[in-house]
Formats: sequence, structure tokens, C-alpha cells
Amino acid sequence: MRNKSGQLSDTITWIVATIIIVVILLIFIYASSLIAGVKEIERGSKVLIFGEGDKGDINWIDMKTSFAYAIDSQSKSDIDKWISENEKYNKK
Amino acid sequence: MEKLVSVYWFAILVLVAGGIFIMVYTFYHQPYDVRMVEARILSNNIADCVSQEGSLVVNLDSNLKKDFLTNCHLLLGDQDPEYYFEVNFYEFPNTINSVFEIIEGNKNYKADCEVQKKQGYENLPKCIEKRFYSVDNSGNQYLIKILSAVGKVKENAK
Repeated sequence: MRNKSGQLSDTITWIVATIIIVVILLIFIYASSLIAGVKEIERGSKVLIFGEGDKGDINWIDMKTSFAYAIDSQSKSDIDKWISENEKYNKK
Repeated sequence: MEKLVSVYWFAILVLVAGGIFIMVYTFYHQPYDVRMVEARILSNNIADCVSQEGSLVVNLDSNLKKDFLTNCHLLLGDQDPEYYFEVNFYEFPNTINSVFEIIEGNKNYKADCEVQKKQGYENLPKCIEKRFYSVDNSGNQYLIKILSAVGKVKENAK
């Protein structure tokens, strides 16, 4: 009788261990599906100089405007205002 | 008993390996959306083609329109291109009516860009608008607006 109950507790231990492993795996699979998704590489890097002009980035196109101001900076404020009216598109 | 335990461990090993495979597959199966970067590169190349060091390097005439793609080394694709761009030149101070315009690529994308302004959709082309200022040899001030759009929905969106 004692031998039988020992076998039963062994079996239960293995079953519980298996269930725990399966549950943990399922949790990880679910988590990876949550963090997966279309990964948008939207901003260039500081190295590639395609940046939007954030801190430390060099904005290729803004540099052209700066060079042009070196030639003629009359009406700079009006021009800057026009440039800042840049149409923003949703990036979803 | 020992045989049974080794079979059990083997089964667990297969289960864990299968789980890891599913996790990696789920995570990396999704595509990378690089359309905004592509649109930005297109804008940069166009800007580089029309203005260098603040000076306008093109003559705004019909030849520019005709040979723009060749001169700027741009290949948009022959049939049903997946790119679109529009360059508008405004002679300062008139910022309403453009004095010159170049349009190339898939013209259907223009309407899609209008939709993207209001709400972003993954399955529509990605659009970007860039504006800058340039001065020509005669000292005329030009404001230049570049709208570029990249389709390639199949490759970049799910």
C-alpha cells in the first residue's frame, strides 16, 4: 500500500512538472506574439544622416536651407515659417 | 523505469525546442517596414539633384521635366511603379502658386497621401513631405516642396 502511494506521488510530481513547463512555454509564446508586429524602421540613424533633425541628428534637407541663407538670408523668418508648415503624415 | 524517464526527458526537450522555434518564428516572421526611410532617401536624392550648397543647380524649363529621372539617376520602375514624387518650386514671396512642378511615378499615390494625412493606414503608401529654400544664379529665391511616397505594401506590411 505504502509502495503504491509512493508511485502515485511520483506520477503526480511528473505530471505537475510537465504542466508547469507547458504553461511557461505558452506564456512565452503569447508574449512573443504580443511584442511581435510590423517593425517600422522609420527614422534613419545618426550615422546614416537621414534623421528628422532631432537632437544630435543632421537633417540633410535643412542643411540646404542653411547654405541658402548664407547666400541670401532676407525674409528668413517668412521662409522659416513656410518650411515649418511642412505637412505631417500619419506614420501608423 | 529509467527508460521511461529518458523518454520523458526527450519528449520535454522536443517540447521546449518546439516552443522556442514557435517564439522565434512568431517574432521574426513580421516584416520590417522601411518605407519611411525609402521615402526620405528619395526626397534627399531629389533635393540633392535640384540644389547644392544652397544654390539651385537646375534650369526650370521643359528639359528638366523631360530628363529629370535620368539626370537625377532615379529608377522608379517601368510598369506600375511603386514610387511617386512631386516637386514644387515657388518663387518667393508667392508660396501659393508654384512656378514649376515635376511629377513622376505612380500618380494614384497622391490621393493615398491625402488619406494618410487624416489617418495612418498600414496598407497605403507611406508619404513624406520636405521643404527647403534655395537661391538661383540670378539671386531669385525659391522655396521647394518635395512630396515623396513609397508603395511596396506587400513587402513592408502584413
